[in-house]
Amino acid sequence: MSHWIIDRMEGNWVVCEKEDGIARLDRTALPEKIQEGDCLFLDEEGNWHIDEEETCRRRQKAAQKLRALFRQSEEEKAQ
Amino acid sequence: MNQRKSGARMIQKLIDRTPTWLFLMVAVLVMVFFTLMTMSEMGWLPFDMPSWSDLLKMEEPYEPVQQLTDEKMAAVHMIDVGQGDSILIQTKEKAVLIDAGERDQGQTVCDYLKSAGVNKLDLVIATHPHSDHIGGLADVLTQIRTEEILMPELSDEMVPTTSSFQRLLTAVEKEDVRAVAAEPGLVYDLGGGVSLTVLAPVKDYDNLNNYSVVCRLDCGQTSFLFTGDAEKQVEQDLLDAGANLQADVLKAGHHGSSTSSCDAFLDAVRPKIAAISCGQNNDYGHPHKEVMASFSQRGITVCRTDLQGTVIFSTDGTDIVVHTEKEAVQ
Repeated sequence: MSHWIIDRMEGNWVVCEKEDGIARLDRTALPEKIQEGDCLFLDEEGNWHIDEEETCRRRQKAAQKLRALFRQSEEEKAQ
Repeated sequence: MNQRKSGARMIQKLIDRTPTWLFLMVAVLVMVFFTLMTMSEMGWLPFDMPSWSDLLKMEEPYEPVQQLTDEKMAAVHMIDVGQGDSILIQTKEKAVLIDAGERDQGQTVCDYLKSAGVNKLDLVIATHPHSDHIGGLADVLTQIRTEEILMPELSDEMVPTTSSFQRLLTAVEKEDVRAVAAEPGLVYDLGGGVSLTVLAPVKDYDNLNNYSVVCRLDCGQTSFLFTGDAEKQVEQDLLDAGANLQADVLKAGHHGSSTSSCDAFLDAVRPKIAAISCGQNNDYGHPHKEVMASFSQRGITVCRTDLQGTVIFSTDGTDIVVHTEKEAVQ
């Protein structure tokens, strides 16, 4: 299953990253509580849902890496 | 044949009939005009005359890449990357890149940097992790040796989940680029008396645009303010923090969106020029008309990548000269 990942909101547009580039969705077509970073998938009836698990997994992975990169530079600086 | 002959005869007749004193008078007037024009250009006259270049329509030609000449301290290139941001700051000693547009603009930015003679970046600023700002950065880090990358430190729940952010982090790691968290007060010496000072983010937000690294470039008496996509809340926070905001050129926040450029902020920055980076006929209506009206009310000149292509500002520390890739077609 390929996800559409919310990159940002621009007014009423929700700008998503998908496998082959950027696509826009109308905000009204999406669940109300959407936030930047949410991983979306389309069900068989054509409704969008948030994949909380995938969102959480990707967020943790990126957050860990970001922290590690900052920490590494600080350690190098301290040496 | 016959007609041409009669035409020539008519001109000859006209010359014969015109008194010599009239010819002389016209010649003297033309000479006086050119002499005054030259004197005005030398600064010997108390009034302005059209200059030789005005007369010959010799505007400074746009070159895809304006090399830094000896008298220039710095050049700021607002590179046309469609809907997104990418700005190159070049001094005699250093090169800094702020953002690199969407992923499909990465190669455009790399090619531009190479043609500008940039084979090493001393600093890359990823203002905030939205794809229209960081999408092309992985390509840049992979192709051009980069010393340091400055990024906002995000609270965990704000960290992006996108592949474009993941790709950027992978490139930072693989290319061994020093990652530094942006903090107000950080100053980079770009050589020759040019400095870049970080002003924001000043605190945590619940919106990635507001995490944008805001920084100012000071070159002699001239200055530039780069705002990423910072919105009105950040503008107010900067005002409250008493940040040094006055600048000759303001990179208008968020592609000229009405989420940014509030009145109090514009009154504090007092820019002569607002620089807007956005795509032609973009889907978001950038720049928004209320922002354009605010600029116009204040007599601020607007430069736009959607209409003018790449825009280059070069400064000798006193004056700023603007070169644009194409003339604006409104």
